[in-house]
This record gives sequence, structure tokens and C-alpha cells, in this order.
Amino acid sequence: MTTKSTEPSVSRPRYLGFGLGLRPQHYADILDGNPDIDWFEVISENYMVPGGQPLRMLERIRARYPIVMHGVSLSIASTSPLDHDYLTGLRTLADRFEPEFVSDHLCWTGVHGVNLHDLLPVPYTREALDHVCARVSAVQDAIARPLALENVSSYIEYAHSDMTEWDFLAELTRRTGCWLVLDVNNVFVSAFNHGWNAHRFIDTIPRDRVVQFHLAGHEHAMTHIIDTHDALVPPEVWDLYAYAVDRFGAVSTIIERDDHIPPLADMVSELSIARRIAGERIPALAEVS
Amino acid sequence: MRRRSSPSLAALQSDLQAAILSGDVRSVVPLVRAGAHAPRDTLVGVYTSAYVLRLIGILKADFPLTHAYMGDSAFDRAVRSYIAAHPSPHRSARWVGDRFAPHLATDREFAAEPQCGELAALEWALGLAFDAPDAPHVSLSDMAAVPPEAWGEMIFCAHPSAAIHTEAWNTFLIWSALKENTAPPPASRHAEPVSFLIWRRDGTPTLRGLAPEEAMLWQEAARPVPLARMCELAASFDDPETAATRVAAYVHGWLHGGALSAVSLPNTATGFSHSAPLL
Repeated sequence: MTTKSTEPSVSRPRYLGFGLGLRPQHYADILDGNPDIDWFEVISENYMVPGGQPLRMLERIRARYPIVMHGVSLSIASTSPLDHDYLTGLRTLADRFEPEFVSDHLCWTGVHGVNLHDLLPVPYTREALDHVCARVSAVQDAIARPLALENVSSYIEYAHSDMTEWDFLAELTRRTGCWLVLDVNNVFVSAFNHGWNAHRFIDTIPRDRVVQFHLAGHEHAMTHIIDTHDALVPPEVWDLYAYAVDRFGAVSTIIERDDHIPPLADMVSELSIARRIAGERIPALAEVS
Repeated sequence: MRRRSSPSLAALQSDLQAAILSGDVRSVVPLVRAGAHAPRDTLVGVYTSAYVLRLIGILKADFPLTHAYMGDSAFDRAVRSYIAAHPSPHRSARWVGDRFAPHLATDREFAAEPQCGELAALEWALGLAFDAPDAPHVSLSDMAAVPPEAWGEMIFCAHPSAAIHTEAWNTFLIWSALKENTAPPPASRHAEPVSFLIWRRDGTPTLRGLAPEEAMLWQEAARPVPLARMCELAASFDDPETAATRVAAYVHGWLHGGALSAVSLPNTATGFSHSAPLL
């Protein structure tokens, strides 16, 4: 074992309620109106730019809402060296906007100086676990904040994996103290593609480590499901969300839409479904709403 | 055989990346399990297809008018050619297209239509202005506060978003037509290259054409050379009698448009001090 077991050294991020992934198409409606949204998740890389409108808009929105920074290029599982320029940029952005926490994905995005701009799955092996644990600790030191990692949708499982994804995640969080973002849609997609039980995934993830839920839609290709994040959250994902709420309790939740982005009012309406489902299971949440 | 059954993490990543970049998944299919409902090559193929489609999508978003001008088919071929030649080294999708315009200009298929590369270069330049570093904009009143006897020594600092864009073809007219959703004019080559000043004004990229003298003086001002030297250069470029008046008009235009971020005087002890607004 190349990393030692660590206990979480920081307090759990606070509960934020029900939010959305921040998208530029919604800037005006957010700032001009008073939408029923509790917080926003922002794509870190979209704001790691020199200046201009993106940062100005984020300043204005941050002045009114809590945010979480969610990255897509950390490439925590890559065997290429950590990109310290990227980590410095991430920390600079976090220092400026003070997110509740910083998250990315349990994946790799490229090696040999190439970025494939995709979230590629990790083989669930002891070698990969040791590698990722060491890098999570290094990243948490570099950004001076705890990191949360999200399960990705996957289409392949490696033949030599000797652990399940959920056991890998559970061990990862136990050893590094990192938090988890549970993408309920991704669990559903991967479970279908690989033929495993989504409830078993959720049942195995440590109850106290999940700090955020993602909800999204997908595209069913009959023999497999493509994680498109471009459609309404389908009923089967809502059902799995209800199951996750039963297990994990009050967890900050967003709907994430990456393409075919509808008007903000439609997203807020969809978000109300999440509020209702969670409120039915946790009456205290319904009272807050 | 052992490597096939249990590759190292590094070897696995290297092999899968090579398959995604090439689109040839045969070497990695044995490394994955059969899906619950789909064969292995179909599932690995999701990643190869997604890679190309995602990058086409990113570049369509960054070069919408180049895409409109070229059409779906040609644009897709151009992107496939581009990403084969230049896999992205960037962490952020924002910068994936940084070499797309030069690639179009030299690509075997598209070099024969140089307006395509120029159109992409114009869109990229406008994108750079969009999120260039923030800086103050100085105004005419700021300049007026400098004692007139010191004006000759005055130097300017361009706004970080400001840059000269030069075209050999009628690309701006093509861009303008596409932006207005009207039919673009036939491509035609200018007798002489034409320059534009691109910068961010009120948060939005903007551009305007520059006469050759103004383009030359802008580039000299951005070095920076002092105002008196700019007048000398203008005098050697055109009518000396009206050189100072012409330079004053150019500087007025730059100030009025918000293309300058600082006006300063030389510091005799330490040299020019132009990194911060003087006024």
C-alpha cells in the first residue's frame, strides 16, 4: 500500500438544498429574476479564463448564491503527472469565489500530454486504487481544500478489474477522506450497461461520505445507454434518486443539463420534482421549501 | 499474453487512448468485458465516436460562422483532419480550437479556400477578446489631465483584449453577411491586406477597420513608442503637415472606443512606467 489510511480532517460541507448546473444561457434570467434555486454548481474550467464576461457573471451570481466548483479535467486517475499549473489555476479560482467545495470525477481524461475531453473509466484494481489515493491526497494539498469525486457513466468494464466500482469508491473515500458526488443518472446508466444492480451500488457507498447528488437524463440505445445529460430526468432515475435519498438523507442536489438546455423556468420546474421527492422522504426538507 | 490479460494502468491508458485517437478499437476490445446487452466493440466504440463528436461540437460552438460558411460536411472533415493532426493538449475545451485556423490555412483540402482559414482566425480572435484579462479603460478626460507640455512623451497601453487582425481576403464581409444570416459574397482577394482592430467594449468583442496608417501607428503605440515619435512616423507615412492632426484623431478614436487601458509618462529614473494607469 503506497498511501496511508486517513480520517477526514475537515467537517462535512453544509447542506445546500436544490440547485442547478450554472449555464451561460441562464445568466440573465438568474440575475434579473428571483428563481427558486438554492445554489449553483459551476464548471471550474469555464471560469479558468483570463477575464471578461464569464468571471464577471460568476462574481454577480456568487454574490447571491452558494456555489460548488465542479471540474472535468483533473484527470485524477491518469498515469501522467499531475498538472500543477492546472491545480494552481483551480486553487486561484477557489480562493476567489470560495465554493462550498471542489469536485471532479473518478476518471482519467488523457495521457502523454493529450486531453481526450472525456471521462474515461478506471480499472478497479489495487494498483489503480493506490495510484488514485496518492493523487487525491496530493490534489487536496495543492488546492488546500477537500476534494469530492463523482462516479462517471461508463460503457466498458476492464477485464482485469478485481473490485467493483462501489467497493473502489468506498475504499477510496476511506483512505483519503475525500467526499463523494453521487451522480444518480450515472449509476443507472452504468448499471444497465454492465448488468449490475444499481441498488447494490448505492447500498455499499458509505452513508456519511456523499455530499452531493447529480440528476440528469440520458439516451437509450437499446443495447446500451448513452449518458448525454441532455434530456429530462427520466422516471427510472427519479426512482433511483428516491432510493438514494432514503439511504443518504438530506444531500445537496442539482440537476445537470449539458446540452439541449431549456429555459431556466423549465429547469426550475424540473427541480421542483426533486424537492417533492426529497420532501416526501424527509419532512423537514418539505418544511424548509 | 500476460500483458493482454492484466495490463498495467499506464499501458491500459496508453492503449485505450491510442484506440480512441485512431478510431481502431481492435487492440483494446480484448481488454474489456462484454456488456450486459451489447458486444464489446460496440461499447468501446462509444468512446471513439464520442471523442470525435464532442470535439466537432466544441469547434462548432467556437467557430459558428465558419461552420455555417463551410457547411456540415466540410466542417466535419476539417475538424477530423484537425484533431488527427493536433490532438488537444488543453485541460479546458476553451482552447481546443487554438490551432484550427492555421490548420485550415495549410490543410490539403481547405488551403485552396483561404477565406475559410481567415474566417476561423477572425472568430478565434473575437473569442480571445471575449475573455481576455480585465483592465481599466482610459478616456479622453484622463489624457487631458496630462500637462500639454508632456504630451510628446506620453505612451499608451493597449487594453489586454485589443489586437490587430489582418485579412488578405474579403473575410470581414463574409463574416458580416453570415452574422446577419444573409448570403455571403463570393470570396475575393484584397489588392492589399486589410487590418482590423479587435477589442472588448462593454463586455462584448467588437472590431473596426483600420486604414494602413492607423494600423501601423497602433502597432507602434502598443510597443510602446511615445506620442511624439508616433507623429514622426505619421509624417514619414503621409502628409507631414497634417501628421499631428491625424495622430490626434487616431488616439481620440482609441480612447473613445475604450481600446486603451493606460496613459503614462516615462519615468526618468526607472524607464517607462506603463503597467498601470497614470491618471
